[in-house]
Amino acid sequence: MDAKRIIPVVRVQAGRVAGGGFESRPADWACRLEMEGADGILFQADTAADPGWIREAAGSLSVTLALEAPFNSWAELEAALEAGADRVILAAPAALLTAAAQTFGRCHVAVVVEAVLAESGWRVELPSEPDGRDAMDWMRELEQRGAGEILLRTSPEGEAGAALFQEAAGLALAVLCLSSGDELPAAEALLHGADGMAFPAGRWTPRQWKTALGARGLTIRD
Amino acid sequence: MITLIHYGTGSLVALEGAMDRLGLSHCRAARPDQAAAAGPFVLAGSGPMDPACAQLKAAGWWRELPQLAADGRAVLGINLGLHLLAEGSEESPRGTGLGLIPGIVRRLGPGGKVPHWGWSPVRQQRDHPLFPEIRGGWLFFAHSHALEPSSETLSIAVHGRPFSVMECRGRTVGIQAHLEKSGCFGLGLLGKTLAGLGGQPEPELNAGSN
Repeated sequence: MDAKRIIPVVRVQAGRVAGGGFESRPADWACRLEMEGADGILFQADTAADPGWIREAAGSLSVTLALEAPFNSWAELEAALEAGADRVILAAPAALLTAAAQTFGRCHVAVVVEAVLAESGWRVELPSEPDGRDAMDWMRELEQRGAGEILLRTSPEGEAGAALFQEAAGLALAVLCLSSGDELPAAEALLHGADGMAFPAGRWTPRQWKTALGARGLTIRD
Repeated sequence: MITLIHYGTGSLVALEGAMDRLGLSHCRAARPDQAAAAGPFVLAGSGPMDPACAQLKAAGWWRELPQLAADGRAVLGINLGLHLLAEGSEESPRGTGLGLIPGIVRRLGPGGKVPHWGWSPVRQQRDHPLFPEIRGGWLFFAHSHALEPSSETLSIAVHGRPFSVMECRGRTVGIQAHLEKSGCFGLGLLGKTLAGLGGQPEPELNAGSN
């Protein structure tokens, strides 16, 4: 059985770690988090226009590097992957998804899904659908269009959110929980089928997360 | 000197970084005439198989690599590289592989999510004098297809069904896992594997150790 992936999220602005102070090189942060037990690093960047820092981080790490950014062109997507990003993460409506999956392989393309619990069930907001869309229906479409993984954030988290993870576990592709950083809801999502969790780096180290989640019986990588 | 075959399929940045950390001397070669005069070849890559085959053919590698292997040069295929070294793949039913490693690459599943992107425990099936044991270790995988294991397979993992993690035929080696993405454990394995295939330290490190 695969280990549940424990992935810290690092926010990057203009090529530097947001709020990083003197130690603001993304490569330095990523290497420290790897030493602290991270199974991969997820960078949330304000731009994909400058792949220089991605190249530096990718060349320094021995775990995967995923990049979530506003990809404004095919060239930016291509440059990020060439610089060493293992995976690019697209936001809805994920217009480049199918072409990217066909060109680079679906392993390397994932999509963020923001699901909100409404009276009619779990919904996602889409630019093309003002009334929103059923979350499971949208995730099935993303699977068909070539997504290699879904990064799912539920609002609310916790018991209600766990129900959506349980349903999403029936998809043929992996689903990662985008966590706010609270232990209990993250554990609920993982126990209900999420293949891993991404959390804001800072409060707990990856190893602290692993200790806490391992104590709940989840399979983690030592 | 390790020659990294640069054929435009997947980034080499992480692999080069790993070799730098291991102190191994390496170069990129887009065509066979740019390869180092000695030392192993590394055929990495990821993504769809057909464009990869086309690019290797266009650059002359498809013709030269089997001859180089027959002449005794070591070849290490990683991920898609392993698939290309095999006899064929379900991903490209009308094509054939380089045929340096027996077996057919098949799509993963049923029983596991595809693509497989994650850390799996690896089980050693056979020992080999050149390569380290990988009993009980976790390695990172990113793939939708894998080589069917055989009695010759050195190590396996399971994702819905067992698949081959490491193959060795003479001086041709194939590894499904991304050792360069598998933490300290993977990095150590990569170093020992490349050392077993004749990878050399950077000259200055050599000099420093004397």
